[in-house]
Parts: sequence; structure tokens; C-alpha cells
Amino acid sequence: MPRWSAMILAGGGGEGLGVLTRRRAVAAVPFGGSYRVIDFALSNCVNSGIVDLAVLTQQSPSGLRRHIGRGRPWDLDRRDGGVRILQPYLHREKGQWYRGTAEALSQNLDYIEDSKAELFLVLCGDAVYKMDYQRMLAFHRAAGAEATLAVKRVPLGEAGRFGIVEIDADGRVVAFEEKPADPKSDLAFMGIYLFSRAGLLESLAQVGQGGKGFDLVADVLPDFVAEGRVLVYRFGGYWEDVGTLAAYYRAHMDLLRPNTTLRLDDPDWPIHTRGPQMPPAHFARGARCRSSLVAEGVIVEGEVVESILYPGARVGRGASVKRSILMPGTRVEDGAVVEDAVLDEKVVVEAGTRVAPGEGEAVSVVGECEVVQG
Amino acid sequence: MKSRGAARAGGSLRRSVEPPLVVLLAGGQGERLGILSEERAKPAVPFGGRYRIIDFALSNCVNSGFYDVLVLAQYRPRSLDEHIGVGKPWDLDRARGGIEILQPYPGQVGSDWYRGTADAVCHNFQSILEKPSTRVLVLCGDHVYKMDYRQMVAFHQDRRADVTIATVPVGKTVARQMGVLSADETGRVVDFEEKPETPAGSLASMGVYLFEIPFLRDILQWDSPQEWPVDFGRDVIPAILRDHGVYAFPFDGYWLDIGTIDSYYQANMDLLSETPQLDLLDADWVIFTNEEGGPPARVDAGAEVESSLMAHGCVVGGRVARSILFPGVHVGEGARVEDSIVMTGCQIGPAAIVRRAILDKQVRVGERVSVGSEKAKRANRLFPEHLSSGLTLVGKRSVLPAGVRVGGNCLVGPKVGPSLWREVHHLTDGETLTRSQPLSA
Repeated sequence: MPRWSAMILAGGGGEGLGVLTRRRAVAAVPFGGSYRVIDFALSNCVNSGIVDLAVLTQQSPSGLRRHIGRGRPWDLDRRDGGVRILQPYLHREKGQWYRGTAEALSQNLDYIEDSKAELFLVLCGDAVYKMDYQRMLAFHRAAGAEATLAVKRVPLGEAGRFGIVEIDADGRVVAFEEKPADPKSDLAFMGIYLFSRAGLLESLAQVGQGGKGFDLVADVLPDFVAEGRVLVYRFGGYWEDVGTLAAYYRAHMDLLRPNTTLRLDDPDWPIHTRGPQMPPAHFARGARCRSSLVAEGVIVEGEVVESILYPGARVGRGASVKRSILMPGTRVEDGAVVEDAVLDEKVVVEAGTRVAPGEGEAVSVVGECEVVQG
Repeated sequence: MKSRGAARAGGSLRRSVEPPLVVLLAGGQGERLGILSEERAKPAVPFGGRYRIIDFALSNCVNSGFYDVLVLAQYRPRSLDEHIGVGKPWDLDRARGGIEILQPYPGQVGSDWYRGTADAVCHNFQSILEKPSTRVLVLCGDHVYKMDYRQMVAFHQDRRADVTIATVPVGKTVARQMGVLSADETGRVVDFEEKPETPAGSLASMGVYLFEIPFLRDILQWDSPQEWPVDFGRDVIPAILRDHGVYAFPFDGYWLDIGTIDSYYQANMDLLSETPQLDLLDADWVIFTNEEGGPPARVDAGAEVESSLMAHGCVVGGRVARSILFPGVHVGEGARVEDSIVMTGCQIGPAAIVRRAILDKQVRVGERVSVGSEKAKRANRLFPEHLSSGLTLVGKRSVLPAGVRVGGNCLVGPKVGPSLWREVHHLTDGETLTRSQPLSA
């Protein structure tokens, strides 16, 4: 078993999520009633046996930093390894924000050089999925690859939303297109790379050199692709990049399906998080609740249908919440109606008012701490 | 929408108080709790869907700013050890002070095992003297309440008391099982009776004492082990009333000594009120526990849930009413759980019925099983004094195979496997089934 280490790219500010990322990185956005998006990457790492990892932050890092702390909820508070947070910093000669994924890594070259790992798993922290990276590692080693990309088949009609990878008969990557109008393949890149140490160091040496840019896929990998050095590993499970509001909402509704493949209560693949200390959810007399996920500290006095209630959310008497996401500390007061909505943390929907999508909107989103008045 | 989370554990306190050392008595066997405390210390008995009883005392300490705690364990300490660990959930993992669990060991002065509260303190007095505090707050790990102990310390300081006893008005509790006392208008205790037949006083001792340490050393006669008193309430307090400053601090919040199965059940059910007296959502007085958290509870399409508490990881496909579900409880489709306490990891099969029952951890209730009854015809035959109000208890990790029926006031011991049900499919009201008592016919 070689030593391996993970680097989680969690710097994205997530324009696609609108007000949800006004004050937090995509990786720190709440997900699934108890979690934050990055919990999936972190838990996958730990469950796969990777206990030496770095989280690379840039946009709105403070929430992520607080969430991860010393990594105790993931059992990553370790003497040897554990989790550390790497932020852009001022060098002796210059200070430069990361201009892309490759530069995020290249600016932390010292971390990579100091690491004893022989393999580096580079992950995007913006997706929700449960994946055993051990299998990808086994594939990578059996194939003797220098770089392996994890891909997932998507319906060809939706391929235009993703980075699409074309491969030859041997499974080698021959081309890569970001959000193609006319996709030539149905293999979507998941933002998961496995590099040999030498391969990673070689690729990072090119960052920003000779007119090259700062993105791993667009600027660094093409040379490797041209030399036939990049393979793909096919992943068959549930995976959703939650960087857009539509995807974020859809991924939540997927959790409510009775046969969801993103089960959060699988004892063999636990998703860990840092949660608040709150009492069990309280369902009052006359409460009605079905097809929903309900976290601790919630009080339900009214009706909740096909919704996800985060810790401390409250639904008052005679209120109705349908197909909605109520983030921590939201309050839907007596008689209010919330339909097809995402209420960010600490939103208050005052008694008797209504939140629902407007004309042409699929989902109504209310930003953090806003008060919806009648 | 009812206002919750605003109630305070005590009024504001502007004056600073000197934090005392805390000695938390956690050695109780809780015989009257039957199988709930058969394999765990009473303070480690699960409570309120997520907690253990001792969490209340521990959280009160840290919320009061007291971070130097000695826990005196004796009976079944492993459950406490595992729960408390290094004290991290309570922020009691400290470089100075923090939490320490002390256990009896052979060769200590005095008798080997602790005989009572005062005896337990005597055994560990050296550890108390080694602490920097000049006062010690003696607490009991069996009580459910939220109390700002700083108020009591300020009260004690103001009166320059030797001892202060926290009290609740008599009537709130069964006076005959308590220490009952009377105080004058300054709060000074003038009369104290332990477990009186006919209580004369109007205040009941909560078993929470604040002592000046040098004073305590003298009255316990710590230097003469053969003279050590056994109990504070019975032996120590009545003897010092006349000559020393013994004061009664009036506490007016919710307080319950979990003594019996019925009081345990009632304290849990009290949490289901719309405005519970013991508000666990109070952001200013968080009750901390060693429970990692987990996925949100899943309420399926055919489920109905009302007047209930439900912790993380539950999956409910049936009807749950007036019940408390601890983490990871599964309730199958068409099943009914009513007026019950269901602990961590229990599995209730489809179409099963659970009524007025307490299921300890990891009990498996098969399909179409019926446990408990709304009207039990007789008290438990073996333990009539503990099980007569109609509740049924099922011990940790027992299995009730499909189709089995268990009546009211019944007791099913821990780890009763399917084989024990081969002879009996129906446990009628008041009957008992344990591994050592296969059939009480």
C-alpha cells in the first residue's frame, strides 16, 4: 500500500449558487439536512483510508476553516497526517491569488514536495457523492498510469453541462472539452484526479510557463493527453456537482427518493460532519410530516411534505412547507406557506406570508437572515 | 409559534463568583430502575432522545463556568468511562482542571467500597485537597435539571456560609424519600430530617451541597477514618445545624431525581409538552453530550409523527405518537409506536405495535409483534413495587420474534434471544422473561 495524500480544491466562490454563496464557499454550503458539501469529499477520503489531506481554500475561507477545524469529526486530528488548510499566502517575491486549479496546487508546491506521499488524489470539493477512492487507486496502479481522471456517464442530452472526456479504445484520454455544445462523448469528468508524485510535479512545473494558463484540465493536462499518459476510471454511483442552484436543489430532492443511492445513513460509509449540539427534533401535536428529512433541533407544528429541514428549523402551527429546503435556524411562522423554495440560514417567513417561485422560476431562494414579510 | 429557547437557567448574575471544585457523585446503582441500570451506572442511563442523565450535571457545571470536576464512580463505571472519555464534548479536556474519574480501589483508608455519599467524599478527600479551590460543590449525577450554580455560590458567599444546600419546595417531589428541611428568613437551616415519615419542613434537599473545604475536612473527621460518616443527608447535615452556618438555597426551576421507572418515564414524557419546563433548545444553556450526530431523521411517505421527539438517523415508515426515539431507530411500515421510549438502534418491524414501553438499546421487534398494553390487568409478579403503572420494559439487545405478544407491566430482560421464545409466544400482563428466568409460568 503506497502512501497517498489528498488535496481538496475548495476555493470556489460558486457564482452558480447565487445568494447561497454570498458569504460562503461552495464547499461550505449546507447539504442534506446535516452536512456541508465538503463533508462528502472529506468522508470519502477517510472511508477510503486517506488520512493525510489538505484543503485548499480561497473564496470566503472562514466558514470552511471553522467547519473543518482540526478535523476531529472526521477523525483527522492526527499526529501523523490529518487535515490542514492551505490558503493563498504572500511569498517573499509576490502574492498572487490562485488563477486556476493548477495554480492552487503549484503555489503549494512546498507542501507537495515535503509530503512523503507517492500518489496524490486531487479532488474538487463541490460535489456530493460516495466513492471508494481505493478502487480508483487499484485501477491506476494496475494500469501503471501517471494520471487518472474519474468520469461518470451522463445522458448525452445533458453532457453540455459538464467537462466531457473522449477516450480511445484503450481507455486513454484523447480529448477534453469543457461544456461542449456538441458533445462527442457521454463521459463527464468528475473533477477527481489521481497523480503519481512524479506526474504531478512534472505537470505543475508547466503552470504559467510558455504562455500556458493556470487550469489543470485546460492548460496542463493537454500535453499529457497528447502523449497518451492519461487514463479514465469509470465511476458508476451517484454523483452531482452542486455548483448551480438547479443541481443543488435537484440533489436535495434526490435524497428524498425512497430508493436514493446517496443514502446518508449507511453504516459502512458514514458521512461525518461537525454538527451543533441540539436536542432531538420535536414533532408537536397535530404535526404532519411525510417524505422528508428532519435534523435535530427542529420543531414541526405544521405540515412538512417532501422537504429537508436542517438543525433548528421551525415550522409553526398551520404553516405548510412543501418541496423545500430549510437551512439551519430558519423559521416559518404560523400559517405561512413555503413551496419549492430554498431558505438560507436564519431566514424568517412571517406569519401568514407565502414564499414560492415567481413566474418562470423553478425555485425560490431567500438569502441568509432575510425576513419575508406579508 | 411558541417561543422556545429563551428560558434561562437562572437570572442574570453580575457579580463574579469564585469557581469551586466540583465533586460529582456517580456511583449509584439505581436498583429501582431495574434493567435500565442493570448493566450501566444510573447517571449513564439514556435520557431525552439523545442524552445520558449525567449530561445535565456536567453541562450545568461548564455552563456555570466550573471546569474542575471529579467524578466519583463505583457501580458499573465502564458506561460512564466511555461516555465521559476525556470530557471533550463538555470542553472539559483541559490542561488545568478538567474532568477526572476516580474509582474505589483496595487498600484505601477506611472500607474498600463507598458506603454512602459522605463516605465516598472521605475516600477521595486527598484529591480534593490537592485542588486549588477553597470550596467544593457536591453534585449528584442522577438529576435532571438546568441550574446556574453561580447563583448558589453567590448566595453562599453573601452569607459567609459553611455549607449551602440547594433546595426545592416540598410537594414538587416525594418528601418521604428526601431530606426535608426548614429555614428561617435569612435562609439559615433550622431543621433537617432525612426521609421523614411525616415531613415537617417546606423544603426538600436536592442533594447539591456547597462546602468550605477546611470546614468539610473538620466535620467529616477526615483524619480519623474509623469515624467517617456514611451519608451527608443522614449523618452529616443534621449534626451540624446548631453550631454552624448551614443555609438553604432556593432553586425554583424544573428538577427531577430519576429514582424509579415511573419517574424516569415521566421525566421523558415531560419533554413532549409544547412548552417543556426543561427546554433543551435553550441556546444559552446547552446540554452537551457525547453523541456525534448523524444524518437527519427520515420520515417516509406513509409515516405519521406527532407529539414526539426524534433523534438523528431514525427512519420512520409507520405511526409514532407521544414517544421518544433515540438515534438510529427504525420503525417499519404500518408499525405503531405510542407513549414509548425507544433507545438507540432499536428496529421495530412492519405492523408491530409498541405501547407504553421502554425499549433499551438495540432491541429488535419483529413483524406484527405487540409490546405493552394500555391497560395492564396486574402488576409485575416479581417486581410489583417497580412495575405496576402499566409500563413494559425490554432489555438491551433483546429480540422479540415475529408475531410475539407482550402485555403490560412485563419485563423482558437484556439479551433475550429468539430461542427463549420457542416455548412462549405470549407474555401476559405482569410476566417476566429473562435469560435466567426463562418462564415464570
